[in-house]
Amino acid sequence: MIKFDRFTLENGLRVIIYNDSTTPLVAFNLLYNVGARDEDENRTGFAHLFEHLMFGGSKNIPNYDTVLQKAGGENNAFTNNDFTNYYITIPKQNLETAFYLESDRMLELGFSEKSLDVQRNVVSEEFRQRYLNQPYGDVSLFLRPLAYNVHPYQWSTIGKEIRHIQESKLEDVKEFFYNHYAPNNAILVVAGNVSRHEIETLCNKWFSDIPERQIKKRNISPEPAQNERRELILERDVPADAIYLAYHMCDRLNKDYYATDLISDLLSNGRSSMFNKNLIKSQKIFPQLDAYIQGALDPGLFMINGKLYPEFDFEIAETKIKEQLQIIKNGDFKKNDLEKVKNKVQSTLLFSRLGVLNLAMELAYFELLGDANMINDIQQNYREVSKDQIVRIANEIFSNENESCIYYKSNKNGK
Amino acid sequence: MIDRSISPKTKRIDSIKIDEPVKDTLDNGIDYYGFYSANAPVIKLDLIFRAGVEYQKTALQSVFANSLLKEAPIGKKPDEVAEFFDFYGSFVETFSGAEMSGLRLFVPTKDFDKVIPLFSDLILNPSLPENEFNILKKKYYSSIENNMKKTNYVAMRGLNLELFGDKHQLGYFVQADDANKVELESLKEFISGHYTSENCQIQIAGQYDDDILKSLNKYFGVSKDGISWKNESNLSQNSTISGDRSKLKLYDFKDAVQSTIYGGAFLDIKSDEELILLGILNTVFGGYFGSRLMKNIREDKGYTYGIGSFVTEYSNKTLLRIVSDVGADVTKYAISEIYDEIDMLLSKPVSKSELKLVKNYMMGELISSLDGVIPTSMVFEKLLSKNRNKRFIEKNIEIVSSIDSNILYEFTLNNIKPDDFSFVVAGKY
Repeated sequence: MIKFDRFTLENGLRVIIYNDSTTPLVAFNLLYNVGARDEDENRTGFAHLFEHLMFGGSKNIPNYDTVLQKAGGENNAFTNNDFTNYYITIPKQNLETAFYLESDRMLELGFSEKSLDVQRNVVSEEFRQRYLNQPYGDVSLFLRPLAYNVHPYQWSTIGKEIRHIQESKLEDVKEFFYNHYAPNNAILVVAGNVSRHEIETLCNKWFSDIPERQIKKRNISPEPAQNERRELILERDVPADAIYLAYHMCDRLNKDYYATDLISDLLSNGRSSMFNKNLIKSQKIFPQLDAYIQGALDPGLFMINGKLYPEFDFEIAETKIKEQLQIIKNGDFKKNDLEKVKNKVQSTLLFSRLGVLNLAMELAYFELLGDANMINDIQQNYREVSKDQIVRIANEIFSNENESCIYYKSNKNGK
Repeated sequence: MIDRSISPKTKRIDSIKIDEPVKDTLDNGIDYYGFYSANAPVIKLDLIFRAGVEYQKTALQSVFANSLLKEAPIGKKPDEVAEFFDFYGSFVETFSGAEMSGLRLFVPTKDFDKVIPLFSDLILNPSLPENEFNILKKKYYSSIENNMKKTNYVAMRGLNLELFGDKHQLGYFVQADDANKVELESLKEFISGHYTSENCQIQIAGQYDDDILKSLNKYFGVSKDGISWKNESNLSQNSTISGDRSKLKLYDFKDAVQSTIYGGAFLDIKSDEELILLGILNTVFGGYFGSRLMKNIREDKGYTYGIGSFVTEYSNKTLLRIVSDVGADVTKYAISEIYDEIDMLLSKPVSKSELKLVKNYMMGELISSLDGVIPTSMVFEKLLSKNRNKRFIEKNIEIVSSIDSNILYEFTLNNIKPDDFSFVVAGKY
């Protein structure tokens, strides 16, 4: 049982305190309820670019990093399709510096032309490094728009294309800030050797004078059900063919979420998983084959991807993957297998919560989902998954009509 | 309203709590180090051997041997073994570095007793199954083939070749075909000469008790089923260094939108004190987000998403590396900026304010690296591999908190020679 304390400031900032007296560090995690799904389709990649700009100086503090480093702190941030998360770890004695820094940039960003100029380049290089200059790196730029026609999940956090990043203007930055960055759109978790009283005092001092802001209303059209198979062939200078399959699945709060996650575990979590045992080791069709869920808040994707050995073609690869899916659809797996993936989830949770930072992030995430207390239900939620539920879900999602497929073809040796 | 022009006072970090491990010895002489914590009912157990790349005779020998160990002991099928560990929510990992290799077990404390007999069997009675060996060859072939399309991999290997030369196991540029040339017999030899009790060190971290320590002795401290695991160790290294050390070597990628730059030079580091000074200098240069390289090449020029410098200690050599992926069109400029930053280190001492920043950052970093028994055991794993102990961390704290910029400058002038650097570019130039 993870016990924590909480309060909400008058301006709407939700604050969660977790006490761990064994660590000299404090984790300070600030989550903003804005992600790539909130972007305009003609200005994609903006939420992530904005995250970079958050380090370019705020109203009263020209250099965020220098101040933090002087206090012996470290920080980073990430943006995904659903939210943006900023985090600091800092020695307890200098905790107030984290409040000073984060409250100032919540109050008002520096909006510097130079910072925008540089970060446009930095993010363009990030785009090139992660998506264009890696074998298979661009696949998500094609798979998302194949699977989604309407929902903003059709683009990656990095954006649809570099042009969108390069065309961003300072007005866009200001507008985005005032539309989304506000105490009433944020969740703060402080975890470490701290008391509620001291965090309340610090929050009142640094955050309470930041005004509540009008948050731009989220207006996302739900993705209509897919009713026929979609397929795309890409040909690239890569050494091996690769196959990517995506199936629409439920949203994060749906009660089927945990069972769907366990399906991906049955298929590919661990060396005794079905993909590993049957297709990688026994039949030797793939050097690598994975199944996973994206964990998106809105209805997301169940993904399967694998690289093929040269002696096999796409048809065989696909047939072999489908045979494994059929085993789950038929319920031809052992009760023991289900027990095994549940045990794995349980032990992974134990290990993942060893540091205060991970715990702080997790608490903020569940608070975003609706209530930080949900953190205490996860194990039970996984435990309760039944074989029947898994069979039903597998039959619902692994259908031809619900499938998007990319054949990523190697152009090697005139293939 | 609060006055936001005044930043909160920060306190200097002058002491760091180090959870020193408890050291003891198993009946057969293996040293083990215990890092106890009641924080969570889990255990991490490491068996560490001097069996890294530096000790191998042929390409991929060390990593193949290491990887096959986890498959199955004699008399068991690999599928059964995988099934067994997975069922108890435990994870067996293999790791293989330049110097050290080993096996690591993550297990919930409550299942330790069930899992430990098989885990020990993996190491004491390895079977090296043929089927898994063949899969490993195929997998490695395909993964190296894939890596050869990555500028980052090619530049990294390319620099090692320039520095160590192809006679040295760290310098040899591994090709996909090398995977096909590995022989099972040579892996058996490597394992029996390196994965021995006299070449072994154990670390246990997490929530364990006396019974668990007793079973460590039962499963690793004595010979088992008449098969002694106290084989004669056979450690030898070929340390002939013969790299060309080109100033600039290009691996051309015609379609690259970015180039990976790897630069580096060997440094003649003679003592722990010098190594700590190098750590400080490296932090200033490219060792943290606010470093000079990041400030100049990312935050000012926008040439890259990231640039960093790293110190690596090999068994006989210390290496300073600079790594970045930069826009293909600015490769030349980026390298010239890197040289400018090297020159800057040599032109004048680091200012007081910059050094103060770096000191505070490093102390914070040290605290976080020692936060919790699992991170602490990772720090000690590295220390122990160099025959160092807690004293090294204390020395590090002393030197970092008292460093004077003139001493750092003198060290820089004595050790950093721009002419010694080799640069490798994979991409365009």
